[in-house]
Amino acid sequence: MTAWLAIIAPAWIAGSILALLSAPLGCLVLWRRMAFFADALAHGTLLGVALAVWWQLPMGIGIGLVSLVVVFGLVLIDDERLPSDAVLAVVAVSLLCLGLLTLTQLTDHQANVLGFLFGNLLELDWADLPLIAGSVAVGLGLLIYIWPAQIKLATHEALARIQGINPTRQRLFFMGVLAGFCAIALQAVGSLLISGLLVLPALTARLWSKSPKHMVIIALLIAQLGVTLGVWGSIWLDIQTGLSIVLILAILFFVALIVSKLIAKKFWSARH
Amino acid sequence: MKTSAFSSNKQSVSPTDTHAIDDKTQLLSLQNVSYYIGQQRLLSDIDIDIAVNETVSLVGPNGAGKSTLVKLILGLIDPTKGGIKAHQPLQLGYVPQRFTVPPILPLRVSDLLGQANKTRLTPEQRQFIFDNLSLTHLLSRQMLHLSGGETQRVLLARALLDKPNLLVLDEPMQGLDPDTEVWLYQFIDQLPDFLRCAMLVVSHDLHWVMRGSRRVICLNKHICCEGQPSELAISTEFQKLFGHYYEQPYVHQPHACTHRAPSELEL
Repeated sequence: MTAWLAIIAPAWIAGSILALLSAPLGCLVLWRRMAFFADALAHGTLLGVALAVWWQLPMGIGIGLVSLVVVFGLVLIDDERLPSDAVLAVVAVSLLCLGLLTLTQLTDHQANVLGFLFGNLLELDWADLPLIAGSVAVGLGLLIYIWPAQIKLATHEALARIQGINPTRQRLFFMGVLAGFCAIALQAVGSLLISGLLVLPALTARLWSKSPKHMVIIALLIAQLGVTLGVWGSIWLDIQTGLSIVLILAILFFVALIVSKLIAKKFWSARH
Repeated sequence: MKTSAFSSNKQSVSPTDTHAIDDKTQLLSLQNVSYYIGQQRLLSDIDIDIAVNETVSLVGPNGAGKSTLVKLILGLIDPTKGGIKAHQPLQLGYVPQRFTVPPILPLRVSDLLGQANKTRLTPEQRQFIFDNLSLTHLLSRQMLHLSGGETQRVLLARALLDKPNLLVLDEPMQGLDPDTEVWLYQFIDQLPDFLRCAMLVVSHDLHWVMRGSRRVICLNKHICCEGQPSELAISTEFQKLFGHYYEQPYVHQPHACTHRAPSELEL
């Protein structure tokens, strides 16, 4: 156990730090109905990484570039006849295909493809932690800054606007934080599962919460639990960390859902 | 001059001499405002002045552009032509026509009220609003689980907590039972001094609109007529638009509206 601990400690800590940002961000993603967008952006990070490897640029630049293209591309293909969730799904799969194609055909990273798709936290060592912690701190700072405005926009856009909140600016700000998160979460859970890490703790928390603050706190706890169990589980099952983290989160979600339904049923049968 | 105008020319409900009397300071002016979506004209040549602390009711059939006008005044959309000028800094309060919290957002009444400005009213004044709208026992309830009447009360409180100088109510009573409706109208008719503000009330309820001495603007893509209820009720134009049974739901007959241009009305 202790021998294992030394190996997984950096991964565990990195995952926990990441979960500090993913939980509140995931709540906002749900409230602002951006789950599909987050998914598209997450798949975009794969292409970003692939391009960065191909052109021998830092990965941050590749991911930033692709995120910008995604945001502007979405503005361009905005068409009122097409439902935006379907458009986002199309963008997501296109980015995934392009990313995989670039990664496997144009670079020598074929061996790492699974890692990019499903994440591999265990490859991290202590030297990577300061960068992750710093990025998460910046992300949290930005999130706290935009938080009140974002909640008002999620509640009622017109009411928020007459209080002087600029929805476009807020949306861009939020997209920026989301893109940054995708960049740092790629290592942990991989591009396929980033949206799972974002959305699952928040969804589970919704079942048990009465206010936005509750939901964030519960999501934080669930995300920590998921990361901890997930990191240990990935060693136990010898699978990618992303797979086991998201699997644990999914199990937690379904258990919470069933329990909450049973409680609700009991409550009603007791009253009638 | 007024009486002769009424007896001789039923059309001339003059917008100028009616509120020239109680006009003090102007708060907001819409000058020749038009709004188009593509080629479709939703509003044309709207001129409205709202004075400080004045209550204006806005009536009109469905599709008359009432909600568009509200959005223009709130600054949510910009006029295609013309301009909207605030004569002093506006603090807007708004009670929307429809309000639904997305179910994914857990929101208690207290959370929604907490989104209002916390410093513009004193604690006593805030308590006055909670007491008079009987909100205290609702504070821990989920917004999702409120009835229509409860939601309207919370939204009204939410708007008043910002201590607006212009309160816009867009069909605030839609879907409410008559008792709640009367009660809410009474509340906004009798706001205490510290909440006194100009109000624009979009309403289908001609009964309330025609009671009292508020200025009424009747809109059907343009301003059909405008004035005090007592004057409006006997104007042919209003009668044609709303019929004799103005307390009942009306059927609008667009061709019956043979209005004159606002400039002619003033003559």
